[in-house]
Amino acid sequence: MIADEIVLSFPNITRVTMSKVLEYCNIHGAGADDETRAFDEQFVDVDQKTLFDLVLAAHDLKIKMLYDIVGERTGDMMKGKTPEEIRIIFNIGENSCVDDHPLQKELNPWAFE
Amino acid sequence: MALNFSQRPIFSAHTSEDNMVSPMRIVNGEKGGHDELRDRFGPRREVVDRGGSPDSVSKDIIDLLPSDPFGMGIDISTTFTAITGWFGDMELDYGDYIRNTIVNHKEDYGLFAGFNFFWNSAMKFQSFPTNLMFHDQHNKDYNCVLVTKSEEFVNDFATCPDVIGGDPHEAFVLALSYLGTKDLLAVERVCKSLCSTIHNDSLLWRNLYIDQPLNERITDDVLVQLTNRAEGNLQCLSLIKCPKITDDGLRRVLETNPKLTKLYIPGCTRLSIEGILNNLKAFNSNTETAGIKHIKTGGFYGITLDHYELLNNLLGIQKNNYIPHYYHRANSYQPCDDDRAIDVEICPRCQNLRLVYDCPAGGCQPKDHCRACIICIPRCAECGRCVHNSEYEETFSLEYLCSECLKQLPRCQEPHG
Repeated sequence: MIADEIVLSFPNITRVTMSKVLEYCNIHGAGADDETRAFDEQFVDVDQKTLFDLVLAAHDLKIKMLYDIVGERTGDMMKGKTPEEIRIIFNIGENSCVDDHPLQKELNPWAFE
Repeated sequence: MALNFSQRPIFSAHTSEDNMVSPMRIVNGEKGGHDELRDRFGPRREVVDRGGSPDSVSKDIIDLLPSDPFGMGIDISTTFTAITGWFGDMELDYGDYIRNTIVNHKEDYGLFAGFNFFWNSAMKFQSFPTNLMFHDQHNKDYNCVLVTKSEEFVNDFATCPDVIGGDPHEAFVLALSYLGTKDLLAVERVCKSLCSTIHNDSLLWRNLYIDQPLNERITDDVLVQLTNRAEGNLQCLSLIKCPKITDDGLRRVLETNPKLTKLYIPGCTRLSIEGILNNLKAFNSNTETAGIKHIKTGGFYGITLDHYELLNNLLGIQKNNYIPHYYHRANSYQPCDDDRAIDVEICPRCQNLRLVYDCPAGGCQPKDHCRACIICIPRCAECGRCVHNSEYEETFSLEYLCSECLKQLPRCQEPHG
């Protein structure tokens, strides 16, 4: 029988990211156990760009388990940091919008006393 | 996610040529394009990209891209256009240049549901990313090729040292739902777009959990302001040891959040049991609200049996399957960890309304034998077993530790004999 070929196109996901996603799906196909937990820890220990790509891919592909671990890892990178530190780590401009919000630094002062 | 397929198999003229790997795309024949190509292939043509001039071909794609030319009822058993050796050749010759960009905006991921099925069934995995062989329920072999994004066009801000600071990455925004309140408020200060995102995304504020260090600072006004961000969708409110929150503040929160079902207020010393009951009466009797179904008080000072019965009535307690509840130094304030309607109950030994714990110790298995409040039966702060039947020590912080848990302490924490 002639092998039918299917082409699935993911214009928002790079090849490298997709290969990581598939690796994750393969490992977790049989369910969670100690090995998968160890794999997860090593899996999320990647550079920021790769992590962001994984978050977007997991979001687009609706893979909840993957989305949870990479989303949480990304969240962990922000936890406990000051706004200035977050700007540096994630390369975010302070005035990333046109309007200058003069009170931005004074938002919720009660939380930062 | 986009799909590219043709109802007709690929023209043999393409594949016979030095096994050239090219992304395929279906274009609307009426729209513009290269005349010579149209002549070659006829009115319904497939444009083959040979990777030579990316820029000129990219204009074609944007011009010619149809939105949904085939009414995309995708059947996985339909014959698809074959592309072989795509990735290997692309890496060598074309740098992963992708042409296929038909976008299916429907939320129906019917095809992908089938794709998921394939991951579950036996799958042969050839060297990725070339071809994947897998079997479907019809015992056909499918050669699956994944077409992914060209890495040339990735906006790689991390490798542009000249950029001082840009907009937050989309993934950054998606990760915000994993942050607690304090971190959300810090991220709000990072830039204006994040401020606007966090402020206006009511989903981020559906479950409000206030703990250290914000608990000591939060006031009624701030609480109302934060709960308003949920735009009436607040479901779970946890105020852990918030001494400044009053009955009036709670009333204001309940007035504007009809969907609240879980209320956790352990250690909020300015909240009185009468105030709570009045607020609950008003809230639960309101037909617009589903009513509070779960309340954690952390052991309310001065709660009487009458209060308890009224609470039971207001919450509409039903007998659920009993789940044992064990003591741990931190667990009084665990948010949403079980489905009990009220955390206090009548202690079987002293008949007072307190938090009652079961015993995990092997020798105390008969269910009711070792069930009581922490005052009637002191327990190990670590594992929760009763300490009066076994060896234990009282630590420097005036809590009990059984001999097993003591052994596991680091040495410097052992109390002096």
